[in-house]
Amino acid sequence: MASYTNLNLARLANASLEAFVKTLAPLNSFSTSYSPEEMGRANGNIVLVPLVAALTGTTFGGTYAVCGGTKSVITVTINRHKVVHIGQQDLDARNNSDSALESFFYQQGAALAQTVFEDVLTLVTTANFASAGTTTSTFLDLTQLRAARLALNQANVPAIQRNALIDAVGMDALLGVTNFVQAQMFKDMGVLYNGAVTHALGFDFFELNSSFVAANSVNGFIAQASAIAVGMRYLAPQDGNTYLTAQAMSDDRTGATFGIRDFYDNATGTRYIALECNYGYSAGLTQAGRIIKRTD
Amino acid sequence: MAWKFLNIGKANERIDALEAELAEAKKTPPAPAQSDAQAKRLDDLAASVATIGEQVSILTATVQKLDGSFKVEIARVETSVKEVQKTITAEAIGSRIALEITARQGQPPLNPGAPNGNAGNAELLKQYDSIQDPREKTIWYRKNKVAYDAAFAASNRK
Repeated sequence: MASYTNLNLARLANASLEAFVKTLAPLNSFSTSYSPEEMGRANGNIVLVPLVAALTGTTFGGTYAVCGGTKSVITVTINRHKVVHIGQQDLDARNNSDSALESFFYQQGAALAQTVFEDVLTLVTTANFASAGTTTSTFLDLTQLRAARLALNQANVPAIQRNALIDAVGMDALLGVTNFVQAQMFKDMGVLYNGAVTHALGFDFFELNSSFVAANSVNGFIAQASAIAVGMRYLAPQDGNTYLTAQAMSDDRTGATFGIRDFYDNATGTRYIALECNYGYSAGLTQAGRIIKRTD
Repeated sequence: MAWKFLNIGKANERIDALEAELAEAKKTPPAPAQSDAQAKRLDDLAASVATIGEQVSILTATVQKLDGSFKVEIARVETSVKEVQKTITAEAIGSRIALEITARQGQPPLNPGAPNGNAGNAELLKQYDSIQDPREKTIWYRKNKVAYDAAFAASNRK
C-alpha cells in the first residue's frame, strides 16, 4: 500500500477544526451540548441539552432545606450526519505540498460547519417562533430590532446571551442606518471599519449569507440561548475497521467535534479523507426566539 | 714455509705408513655406525609420533569438554537475552504510558528541539499519538505546533 508519509494529518485536521469552530460560532450562543464522546449502543443517541430557563428566587423562609430551581433540559436526538468528502489521487499528492493542503482543509472545515449550521437553521420558521416584524430585506431597520427586543422582554426572556442572526442583505441595510453608522452613539467603533454591526440593543450580531431556508422568508432571527438546543457527538467507526486514521477532532473550548476517516483505495490510487459531523437539534423554548420576516 | 722432512727415507716410511692406514680403513666400511644412527633416529621419530598422538588425544578430550561448556554457556546467554528483551518491552510500555501522562498534564514535549534528531522527532510524534482525549489533543497540538510540524517534516526527510 502506498503510504503518504508527507501528509501531516494533525496539521490539516487542526486547520479544518479552526474553520469549523469559527463558522459555527453563531451556534455557540445557543444551548449546546458538544462533546467528543462517542455515540453508540452504550451511550444511546439522546442527549439532554441544558437550557437557560427563567430566573427564579424567593424570600428566605427560615430554612435552607428546600429543593428548587430545576435545571431545564431539552431532549435532542443525535440523528443528523453531514460529511465533506475529500479525495486525492496519487499524482495530485505528489504535486501538492503539505502547506497547500492546509488552506484546502481549512475551507473544508468551514464547508462542513456551514452545512451543519444551515441545517440547524431550518428550525427558524414561524411554526416554531413568533414573528416580531415584517419588512423587505433592504429595509431592515431599528424598528424591527426593537420590536423583537420588546417581545423577548415581555416574554420574560433573560437579558443575557441574546443574539441576532441577520441575513447579509439585512445587515447591509443596517449599515445604511444612521444610528449604526454614527458609531459614537453606542460605542461600536467598527461598524464602517469592519463592515459589521457586532452588538446593539443587547444582542450579539452575526451576519449570515442565505443560510435561512429561502421558503421561510427570514430576514433575521432574534433569540436567546434557550431558543435552540444543539447536540453534537463523535460517530466512531465499528470495530474491525481498517482506516489509516479514524479519530475525533474537538475544540477545547466549545467542544465542537467532527470526525475524520482516512483511508486509501488501492484500486484507484486515491486517498480519501472524510470530515463528518454527527449532531442533532431541536427547538428549545419557543418564547425565547423571534423572527423578522421578509416580504421579498 | 718450514721443511718437515729433510730425510727422504723418513718421508717414504711415513708415506708407507699412511698408505697402509688407508688400506686398512678401506677394508672396514662405516655402514654399521650409520645404520645405528638411522635406527636411533627412527626410534626417536616413533617416540615423537607416539607423544604427538597422546597430545592429540588429550586435546580431543579437552575440546569435547569445552564443547559441552560452550553449549551450557550459550544456553545461559540465550536465557539472559530473553530476560533483557522482556525488560525492554516492559520499559517501552512504561515509556508510552509516561508519554501519555506527560501529554495529559499539558507539559511541553519531552524534546522541544525535535528537528535536531530523529529520535526526538519520533518521540514528539508518538507523544501526540498517545493522547486519547480529542480536546487535549487539540490543546497539545496548538501549544506545540511549530515543534510538531518541524519534527514531522524532519521525519519525512529520512
